[in-house]
Amino acid sequence: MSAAQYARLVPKKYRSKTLPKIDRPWRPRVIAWAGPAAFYPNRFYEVDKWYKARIDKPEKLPEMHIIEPAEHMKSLKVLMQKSEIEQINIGFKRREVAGKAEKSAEDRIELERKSRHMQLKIDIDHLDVENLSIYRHFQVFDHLFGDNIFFENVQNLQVNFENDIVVHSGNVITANSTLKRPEITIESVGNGGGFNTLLMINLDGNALDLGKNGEIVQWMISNIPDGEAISAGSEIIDYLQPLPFYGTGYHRVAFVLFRHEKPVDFQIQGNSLDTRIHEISKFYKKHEATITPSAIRFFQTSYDNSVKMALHGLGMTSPLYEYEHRPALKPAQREFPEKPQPFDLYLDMYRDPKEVEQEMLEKRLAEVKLDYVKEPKWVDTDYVENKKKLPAWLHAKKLERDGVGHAKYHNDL
Amino acid sequence: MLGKTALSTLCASRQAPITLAARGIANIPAHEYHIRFDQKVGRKRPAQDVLDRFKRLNNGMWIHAHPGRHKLRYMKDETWQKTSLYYETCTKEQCEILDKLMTPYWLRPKHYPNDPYSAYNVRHNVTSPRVDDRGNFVRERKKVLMDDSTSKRFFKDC
Repeated sequence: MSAAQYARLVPKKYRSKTLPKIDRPWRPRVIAWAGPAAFYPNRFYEVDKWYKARIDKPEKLPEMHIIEPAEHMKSLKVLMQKSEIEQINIGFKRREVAGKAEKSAEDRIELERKSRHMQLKIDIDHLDVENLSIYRHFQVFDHLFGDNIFFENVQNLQVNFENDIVVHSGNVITANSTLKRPEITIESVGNGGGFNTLLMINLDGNALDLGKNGEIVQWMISNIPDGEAISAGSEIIDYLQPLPFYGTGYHRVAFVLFRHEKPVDFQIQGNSLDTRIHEISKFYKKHEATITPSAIRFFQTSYDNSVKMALHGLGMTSPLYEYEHRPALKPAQREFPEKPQPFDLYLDMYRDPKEVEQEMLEKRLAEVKLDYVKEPKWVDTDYVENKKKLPAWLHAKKLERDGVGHAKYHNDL
Repeated sequence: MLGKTALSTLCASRQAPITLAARGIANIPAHEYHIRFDQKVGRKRPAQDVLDRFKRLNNGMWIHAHPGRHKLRYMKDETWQKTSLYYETCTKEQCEILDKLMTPYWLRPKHYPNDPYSAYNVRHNVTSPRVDDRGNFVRERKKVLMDDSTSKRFFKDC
């Protein structure tokens, strides 16, 4: 009810004069000395500051949404769709596959019977498993040739490392398996003419501080006659195993096959590691009128001991990289904080990170043993005694799992 | 001529004002909060309340636990359960007062084997008037090294 309606119900006349015009029927008559406690209906009432403002509490309206007048006829699904960027195909058109025959009714019945009796065998090698979205996901095309670029695999390119390790679309291969050059099989187009050029490119290998942009060309064989082995071509850049440095994570190594009608003299060198750095997009732009990409494969590899041995063979030391985190945001340190702070957390914020790392390493080395190490079942076996004796901050440090316990069993010592 | 009882009575009446005028620990004025010179030892006496409730790190910071942190915990909310176990720092004024209540022995840096506070006894990147040009805290008083006979002779009570 409003204040005016309430004033009419009050039997005594003087109350309607002194009451302020707000909707608070339980407000007592004495206001000056009572304090805010006088305005609570009971002690569980939430404090509402508007009682002193002598105005009504502002009403919160629900949030409104803007409706475009030109598009109000479209459904929500249409409005939510993202606009697709046009992709540029720089390769060949995909060849027409030999017509897949439609299964007849009798064949379907026979296949269903075999499937029910678990006698149906599918030849996986003959399935078409080409999927370019993996290359888009790993941005292989973007980093090799530029944004919104793709091309189709029109020639069957088979890359086999030793021990029958096959390069597919982004599978992980250890660096130890890539010591020797792989066996390459290139499908013949069948016209009898034309040449192929194969490049093996490490997209993420340019980690040296040389100031050169580009990717590392691990291997290059040019002018391979169509239908013949790669030994018939000329090896411009010798094979070098991919070198993912320590701490740089997984490297994408791609095999790109280019096709051209006439032999091409590529002006490109690769004697040492720094001269192997080339920008493939510029290389392709230079020979764009002649060569066309026709096949691509890529795999991922990361650091192991063979990389170090290969670098020592090249006369280099193995560089060690680590992730450089952004510095943590902290308030400026005070010699005496103005508000009370937990001293261990406050001082830990401003400690030297090297000192913290050294302390952590000493703890790990003190706990790592030569025999079989198993994570303990209990974090603190003497919990009750330690809770009594130790200060609470020390006990909390003992109980935390992500410090000592986590690093002990998840580090590479 | 005078009797024994008269003589003892005269001496007793003379000693009474001296006994009443002496200041004990209960009679410390509030504005001082500490004993400057103990009548028995003849030197400053640290406030026992400070030693019971506070701890001084070697960098001049005093820390203390929350009073009442073991009482009626079941009635209080989760935030209080967590924050009441913190050992908190004192403000600048409190640190100065606590330093005045202490004798130089307690202001000296102390080192213990396997001290859990050893990582917090040093400060990093603190520049203030308390630090001189060599990076040492001005108020931290180093112990003077001397031979045992001299220390036994003059500082047996340290």
